[in-house]
Amino acid sequence: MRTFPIPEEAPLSRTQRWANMLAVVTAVVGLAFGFFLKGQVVGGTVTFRDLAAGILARYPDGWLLDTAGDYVFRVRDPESPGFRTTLQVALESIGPDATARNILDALTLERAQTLAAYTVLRTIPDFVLPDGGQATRLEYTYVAAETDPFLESLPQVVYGVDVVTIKRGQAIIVTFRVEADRFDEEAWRLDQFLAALEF
Amino acid sequence: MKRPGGWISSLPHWNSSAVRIAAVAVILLMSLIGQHGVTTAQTVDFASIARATVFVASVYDVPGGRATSCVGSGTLVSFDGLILTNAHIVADSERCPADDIAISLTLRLDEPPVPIYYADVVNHDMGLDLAVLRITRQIDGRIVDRDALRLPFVELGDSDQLQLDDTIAVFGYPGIGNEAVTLARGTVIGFTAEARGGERAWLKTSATILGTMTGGGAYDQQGRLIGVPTTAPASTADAALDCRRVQDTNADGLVDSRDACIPVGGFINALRPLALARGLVRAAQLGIRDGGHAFSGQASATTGGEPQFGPIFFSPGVNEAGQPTTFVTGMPAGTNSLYLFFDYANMHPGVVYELRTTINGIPSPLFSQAPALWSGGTRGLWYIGSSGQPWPNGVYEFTLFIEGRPAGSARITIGGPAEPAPAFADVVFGLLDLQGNILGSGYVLPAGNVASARFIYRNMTDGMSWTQVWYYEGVEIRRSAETWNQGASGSTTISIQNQQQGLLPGRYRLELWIADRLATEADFIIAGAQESVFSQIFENVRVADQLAAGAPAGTVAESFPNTIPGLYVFADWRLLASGTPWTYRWLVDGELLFERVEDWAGPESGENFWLYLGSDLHLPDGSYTLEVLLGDLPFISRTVEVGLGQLPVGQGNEATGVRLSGQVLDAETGEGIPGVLFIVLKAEFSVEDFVWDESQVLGMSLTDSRGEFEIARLLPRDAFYSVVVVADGYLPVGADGIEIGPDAPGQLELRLEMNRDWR
Repeated sequence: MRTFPIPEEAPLSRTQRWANMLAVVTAVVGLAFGFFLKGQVVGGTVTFRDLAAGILARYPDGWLLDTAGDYVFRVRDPESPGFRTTLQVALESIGPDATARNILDALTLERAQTLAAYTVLRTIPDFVLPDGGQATRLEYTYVAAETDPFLESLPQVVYGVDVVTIKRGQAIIVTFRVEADRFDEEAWRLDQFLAALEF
Repeated sequence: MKRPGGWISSLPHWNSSAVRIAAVAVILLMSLIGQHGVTTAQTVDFASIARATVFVASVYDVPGGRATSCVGSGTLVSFDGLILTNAHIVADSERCPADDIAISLTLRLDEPPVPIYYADVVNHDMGLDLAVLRITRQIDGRIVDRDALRLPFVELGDSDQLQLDDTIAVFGYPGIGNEAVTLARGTVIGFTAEARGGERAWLKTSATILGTMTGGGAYDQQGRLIGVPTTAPASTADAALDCRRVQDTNADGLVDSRDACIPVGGFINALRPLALARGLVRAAQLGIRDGGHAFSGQASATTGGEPQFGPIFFSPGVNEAGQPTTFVTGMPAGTNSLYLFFDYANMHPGVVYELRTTINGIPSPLFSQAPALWSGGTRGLWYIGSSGQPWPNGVYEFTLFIEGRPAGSARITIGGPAEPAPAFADVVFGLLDLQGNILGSGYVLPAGNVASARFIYRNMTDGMSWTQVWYYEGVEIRRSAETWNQGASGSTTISIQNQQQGLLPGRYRLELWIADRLATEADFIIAGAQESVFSQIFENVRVADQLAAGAPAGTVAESFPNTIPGLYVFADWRLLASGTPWTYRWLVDGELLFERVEDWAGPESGENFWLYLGSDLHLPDGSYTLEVLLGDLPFISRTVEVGLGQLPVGQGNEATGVRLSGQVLDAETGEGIPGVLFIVLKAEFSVEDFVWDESQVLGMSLTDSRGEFEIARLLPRDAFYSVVVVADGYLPVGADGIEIGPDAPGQLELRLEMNRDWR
C-alpha cells in the first residue's frame, strides 16, 4: 500500500491575515448597520407636543394621528392587520380626593356599557413608570366589531392596557390597545411610548 | 397643492422613512351601481334610499322572552341615527306595548332587514302620527357612540312644492320583518284638508302601499323625502283587523287565537306631508323637546265617555278660522271643492278614525281616508275635504268610523246645473259699534253682555221662515224663529245678550236655519277681559330659565346665555273657561318645532301658567318664540334670544353627495383583501400633503372579510379627491385627482388591485 504525504499548509501571510480580519469586521459592521437601519425604520418616532395640556410624546412614525376626540391625541397603526394598534393619551380633571383607582373604576363602568364582552384581566396598583413615578395599570380585553353595519367583518379580541397616573390635579390616562394575538410582540411599543412620554 | 388628473404612487410617510415605494395601482372600474334602476332622475340613488329605510318593531316582555307588538317602516334622516316614523308604532300604548324599539337595517338590498339597534323616542306627535327616534343601543344592549355612527340617510324635501300628477316613490317593508325593502311607484292624485294640518294635511297617491310600509318614506323625483305613508290599525275586537299571529305570547306552548297578534293593516293611499314632520326632526337634531305646561291652582276634571261624531254637513269652503262658509245639500257639475263638517266629542289622539267614500256605490280611495290617528282635540267641530281638484259627478256616500265602528254617514249628489238656493254664509262674530259695524278679531270675543254675528244671505225671499239658534257649551241658550224680510241678498247682523249675568266665558255656537234646513253654523269663543274690542286673556308674560314653587326663578329676561337647559314662559290669565280649545307653538328662528292642540284644563283665572321648552343639555343659540293661540288667533307671542340669537350652521348632516364604496383585490389572486385601510382626503389635500393626520381625512373605511369598503361620509360633488390605501403586506397606493363631478351619480364603486410587497 502506498502512502502519500500530506503537504503542510503554508502559513498565511500578514496581508492575508489582515484581509481575513477586515472581511469579518466589514461583515459585522454591515450587519450592525443593517440592524441600525431596520431599527430606525421600525422604531422611528414622531414627536407630538401639546403645550396647553403640557404633554410631549413620541409615537411611531407613520401612524395616523387624531386629535379631534375626547382625548389629547390618539395614534393608530394604519398597517395593522385586523384591529388597528392604538396608543392614546387622555386627560381628566379630578377632585382632590380622587385616586387612580377611581378613574379606572369609572372607565370600567363606561366601557362595560359600550364595549362588547369587556373583561378586566388584572389591575396593578403600584405600577412604576420608566421615570420612577407611580401609576396604576389596568389590563382588559373586549371584542371589537366594525361599526359600519353594512360591512361583513369578524369581531376581533382586543387586549388593552391603561396606565393612569395623577399629576397637577388631573389624571393622565395612557391607553394601548392591540389585537390580543399580537399583544406579546407589540407590547414594547407601550414601553417605548411611556419611556418617552413627558407630562 | 391638488393636481387634478395626476396620479402619485409614492407617499410622503414612506419617503421620509427612506423606504422606496413602487406602488402599482390600477383602478379597474369606476361605475355607477344603480342596482334598483334610476328612472325618475339620473341623480336619484334608490339604493341609498333603500339602505336608509329601516324596519321598526316595538317589542315587549312576555313570559319566557320578548314579543313583537307593532311593526312598520322608518327612514334615517341623519347620519347619527335619527329615524322618522309613525308614532303609533313606537309610542307605548295598550295597542302597541313597547318596552324597546328594535331597528333593523337592510344590509343586502334583496334580503330581509337585520336587527342591529335599539332606539328611543325623542319627539312624537300622536295626533299627526309622527315620531322621531334616536338609535341609542346596539342590539346586544351596548350603548351606541353617536359620534361613531355614520349611517346612510336621506335628504329632506319640500312637500309644499308637490303638484298633482307628480311622480313619487314610496319605500318601506311589505312584511313583518321577513321580506326585503320594497319600492312602490305612483303619482300624487290629491290633497286632503283637515281641521288640523290645513289644506295639505294628507297627500293622496296612486301608489299601492302595503300596511306595514306605514312610517316609511315617500320621495320626489329628486330623491328627497316628501312624506310618510301613514295608517293606523283600529283596535276593537269587532273591527276587521288584519293581523298576524306568529308568537306564543302567553307561553302556553301554542301559537293560537289567544296570543297577541301583530297588526299589519290593509293598504295605504295617504301620506303625511313632510312639512308636518320637519319640526319634529329639526327639534331632535337640535336636542330640543317640548317640556309641556302646567297651571297653578286646581285643574278642572275632564269628562270621559265614548268617542262619537255628530251629523255630517257639507260645505264648499272653509274660512281662515276653520269654520264652514255655508252648508249645501248638493253641488253642481264641475265642483272642485267640498268639505265634510261634523262635531266630535270624547276624542283623543290615540283614537283611530276613518272615512270611507263611495261614488255611485263604488269605493273611492281618492276621497276616502285610511284609518288614522285622531289629530284634533277632545270635542269641537272638525272638517275633512279638499279643494283645487275635481270632484267627479255622482252620488257620494261618506261613512265615518271610530275604531272600526260606523259613527255616522251622509250622502250628497254632485252633478247637474248650479241651482240658486237660499243660503246663509260667512258668519263672523264681534262687537257692534255705534254705526252697527262688527268689530273685533272674528271668532274670539271678550267677556261682556253682548255678542253679535254678521252673515251673508243669498237667494232669499221675504216671508221665508228662518231660525237662529245659539248654544253655550253644547246647550241651547236661545232660539228665535223669524220670518225673513230683508230681501234677496246682502248681509245682516244678529246678536245675543245677557244683561243680568253677562255672557259666560266658554264656547258658543250659532246655527242658522232656513225652514228646516241647517244653512250654516259657526263657533266662537268668549274669553278674557275686554280691551277695546279685543280680548285680553293673557298678561304679565315673563320668560325665565328656572322654575321654583310654580313661579319664575333664576334669570327673568329677554336674552339668555347658551348654557341654560330650557326656557319657561309664564303668564297670568283671566276668564278662560275650562274646555276651551287652545294651541301652543314653539318656534326657533321662525321655524316651527312643536304645535299642540289642547283643551284648557286650568281654572278660569289664575297666575303663573307656564310652558317649558327643554333640551338634552343646553338650548342651542337661537331666537325662541312661543305662540299661544285661540281660534287660530295669537294671544301670546313672545320671542327671546339664547346665545347669539341664531341657530348655528349645521355641519355634516347634508344628505347630498356621493357615496363611495368598492372592493380592494389582490392583483395576483383576484380575491378581496380584508383589513385594508381606505382613506379619502379632504378636497384641499393631495397625497403629497398628507402627513397622517386625521384632520386631513374626509372619510375612511376598513375593508371587510370580502375586501369591501364603504366611506360612510358622503363626498360633496364638484371636487377632486385623493385617496390613500394601505394594507399589511401590500404596497401602499396613493392617487390624486379623483373627480366627483357636479352631475355625478349618487353612488360610485371603485375596484382597486394591490400588489404584494415581497421585500
